[in-house]
Amino acid sequence: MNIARIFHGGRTGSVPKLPLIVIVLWILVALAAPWIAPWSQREIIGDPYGVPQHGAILGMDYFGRDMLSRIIFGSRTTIVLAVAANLIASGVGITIGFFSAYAKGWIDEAIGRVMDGLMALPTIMFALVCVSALGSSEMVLVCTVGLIESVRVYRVARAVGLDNLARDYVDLAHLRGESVFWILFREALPNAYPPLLTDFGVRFAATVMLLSAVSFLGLGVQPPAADWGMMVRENLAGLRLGSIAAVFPALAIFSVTFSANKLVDWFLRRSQRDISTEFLA
Amino acid sequence: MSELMRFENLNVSVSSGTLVNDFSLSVQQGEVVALIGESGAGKSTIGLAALGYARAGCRLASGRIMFRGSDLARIGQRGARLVRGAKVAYIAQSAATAFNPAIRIVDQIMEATAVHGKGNRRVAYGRALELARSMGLGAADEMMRRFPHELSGGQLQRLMTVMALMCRPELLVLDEPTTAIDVTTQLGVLASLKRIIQQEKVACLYISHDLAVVAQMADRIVVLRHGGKVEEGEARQLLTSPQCDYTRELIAAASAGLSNRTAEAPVASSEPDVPDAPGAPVLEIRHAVARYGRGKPTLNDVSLTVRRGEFVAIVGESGSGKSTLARVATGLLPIASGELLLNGRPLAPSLRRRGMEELRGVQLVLQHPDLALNPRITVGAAIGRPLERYFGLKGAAREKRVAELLRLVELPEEVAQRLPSQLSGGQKQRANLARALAAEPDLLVCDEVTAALDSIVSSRILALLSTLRRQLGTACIFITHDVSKASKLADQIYVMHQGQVVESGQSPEVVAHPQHPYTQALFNSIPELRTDWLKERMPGLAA
Repeated sequence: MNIARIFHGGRTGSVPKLPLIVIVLWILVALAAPWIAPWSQREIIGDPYGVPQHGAILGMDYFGRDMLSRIIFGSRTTIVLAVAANLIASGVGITIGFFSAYAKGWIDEAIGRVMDGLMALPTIMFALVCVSALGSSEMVLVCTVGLIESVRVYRVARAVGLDNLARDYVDLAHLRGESVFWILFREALPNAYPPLLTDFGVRFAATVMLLSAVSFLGLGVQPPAADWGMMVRENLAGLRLGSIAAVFPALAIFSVTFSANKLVDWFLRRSQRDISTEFLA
Repeated sequence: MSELMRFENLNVSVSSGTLVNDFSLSVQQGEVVALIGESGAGKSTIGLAALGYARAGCRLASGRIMFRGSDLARIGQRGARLVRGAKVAYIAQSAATAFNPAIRIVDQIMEATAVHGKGNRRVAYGRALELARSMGLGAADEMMRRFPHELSGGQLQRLMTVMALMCRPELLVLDEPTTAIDVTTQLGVLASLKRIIQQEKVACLYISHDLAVVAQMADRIVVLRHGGKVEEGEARQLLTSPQCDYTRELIAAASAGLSNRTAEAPVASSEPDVPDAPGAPVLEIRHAVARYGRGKPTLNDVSLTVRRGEFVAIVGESGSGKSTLARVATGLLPIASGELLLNGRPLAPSLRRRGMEELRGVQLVLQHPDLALNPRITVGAAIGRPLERYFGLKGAAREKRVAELLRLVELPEEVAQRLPSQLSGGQKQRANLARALAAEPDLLVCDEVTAALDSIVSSRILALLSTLRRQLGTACIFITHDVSKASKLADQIYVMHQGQVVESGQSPEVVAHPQHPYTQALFNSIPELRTDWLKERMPGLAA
C-alpha cells in the first residue's frame, strides 16, 4: 500500500487508514489518561528540561514534570475544549449566517454590520475581556472562543447560504409554503456541507491555538493542568537551551489537526461521489 | 474537389471510458459537413479534435486526424499553434461567454492576425470591416470598438465569425453557433453565415443538435450517437430517406415539432373526452404589471385567462417576459399592480399571504430538471413532500401515492429510492412533473420544461403532457420559445414581446393567420426540415 493511500484513502473511497487510527488513538488516550500516564500531570520528577530517563521517554518540561504524562493528560483538555469550541462556532455561525442569507434586506445588513464590528475586535483582547468579566472557567473559555470563531464561520456560511438559497428547488419549497426551518435545514444545509465541513476542519487548528493563547495569559485552563497549546508556549524558552520539549505538544496538535482534516476530506469525497454518480444510459 | 481533412479511426477517451469511438470522416475542400446528435454524442469532442485539441481530462487516444499531410492528433503544442486560428478556426456556441469581457471586440478580432503574422494592422482591419459587412453588420466600424457586453447575442455571434475568418482558414469548426440565440435573430445569422461560407469558400464542420438548422447549411450530414457514427449521407438524401432507425427517430422528433401553416387542428382538442365547452376560469390575470427591483416593468399590463381543462401556450423569445409571467402566476414574484384570481377568488400577490389551498392550486414545473430537484433528497421524498403538506399523507399511504404518481409519469417505482443524480435528464423532468401533480393542482405552469432536453426525450415528455391532460383534465400554462411545440399542444396561444402580449387567440387561428407583425416574423423564422427553406426565406442568397 503506497503512502498516498494511507493518507487519503484509495480511489474506492475507503476511509484513510492513518488519520483514522490517529484520531481513534487520541480519543482512547484521552479516555484512559489516569491509567496509562506514568506520572500525574503535576508531579515533579526531575530537572527542568531534563533528558529522558526512568521511563520518562520524552524528557521533562520546564518544571521538571514528565512530558509524556502531561501530553496524555493534555489530550483531555485540548481535544474536548477545541471540539466543543469549534462546535459552538459552527452551530452559531451557520445558524446566523443562513438566517442572514435567507432574510436578505435590512436584517441581513444589520447582522452583517454587527458581525463586521465583532470581527474588527482583536480576538485575544476580546477573549481576555470576556473571560475576566465572567470569571475564569473552562465553560466560559469554550463559549468565548466559540463565539469569536463563529463570526468567521458566519462569513462563510452566509456566502454558502446565499448560493444554496438561490436554487430552483428552494423556489419550489417557497411555493409549497414551507417554513424557514425546513428551507434552511432541509433544502439548503444538506447541500452546503462540503465548504462548511472543510471550514470546520481547518478551523480546528485555529481554535487550539486561540484556546492555548488565552490559557497562556492566565485565564481559562489553569496551570498546572495540562493543555497542549499552553505546553508549547511554556516550553518555548527551552528551545534556546537546547531542549526539544516544546516540539512534542506541537506534534500532538499537528497530528490531531492533520488527521481531522484528512477525515473531513474523505467524508467530502464520499458524499460528493454519492451526489455526482453519473447516470449511465 | 480534393480532400482537406481526414479522421481515421479516431478514439477520444476519458479516464472512465471513451467519448468518441473509432470515428472516420473525410472533409472535402469547401464542403459543409454537419455533425448532428444529442448531448453526449461526442460531436463537440470531434469538433475540437479537428483543431488537434482535447478538453482537460480527455485524450486523443488513437487514430489520426490528417490535415495537409500532418497528423493533428500528434502534432504537439508548437505545431498546433501554427494550425489553430490560421488554418482551422473555431466558432463557439455562446459568443457572449467566448469573448473576453474586458477587451474591446476589435482587439480580440485582430489578435489572430497578429499572432500568425498575417499582414499589418491596417490591412487586417480592412479585412475585418469587409467581413463584418458581409455578415450584415451595419456600423461595423463603431461596433467593433465596443466591449462584448455592449452588443447583442446575434451581433456577437456574427463578430465571432468575423474573428474566425480573419486568417482565411481552410476549415471552420462551428459548434452550435445559433443555439444560444433567439429564433428571429437566428434566421439572420444563418443567412449571413451561409453567405460568408460561400463567399470565402471555406470548408465547415457544422455541429448542431437541430436538424432543421443543419438542413439549411450542410452539404453532407453525419449522424452521431454515443460517440460513434450512425449514418452519413448527402443532406437532402439523408433527410428524405434515412437508413437507420435512430436517424428516423431524430427526424420524426424534429418534424413533430414543426408548425404546419396548414392550420392542422391541435391534437388535444380533437380528443372526445376533453370537455370542449369552455369551463369556468381557473386563473385570471388582469392588467398585471411586474418588475424586478426598481427597473422598468418586465411585465407590462398583461391579461390572461385560463379555463378549466384548457391548455394555454405562451410563446416569446428570451427577454419577452414569459418566465416572469410564470413567476407572477405562481406568486414567486408579487405583482406591482393588477389582479390575480384563482377560481374566481382574488389571490394575494405575495406567497406569504396565500393559504394552503391556494398554494396547492397552482403548481410550477421548471426548465432545468436537475436544478429543480434537491440533489440530497430522494425522488420519493421529493414527490412525497407535497402529499404530506397538502393532504397530510404519511407512511404507507404516502408511499402508495408516490408509486401511483411515478406510474402516472411512466417511471419505474424503484426510482423513488434514488437520488436525482442517478436519473437521466428526461427521468428527472418526469419526476418534476410527478411532484407538481402530487398536489392535484387546478393549474400546472410549465416553464420551458423541454428546453433543456434532447429532441427525442423532449418529444416524449410532450407526449406525456398531452396524455396527462387527457387523463386528468388539469389546466396548463405552457411557456415556451418553441412556437411549433406550442401550436401542437395548445388550445390558446399568447404571443409575448417586450413584456406585453402582442397577440392571443385560438391556437389554429393564430398559427394560420398571425395578425401582429412580430408574430408573423416569429413564425416565419422557425426553420423547417427542408433543405430549401432558408433560400426561400432569404431570396438574396445565391443558389
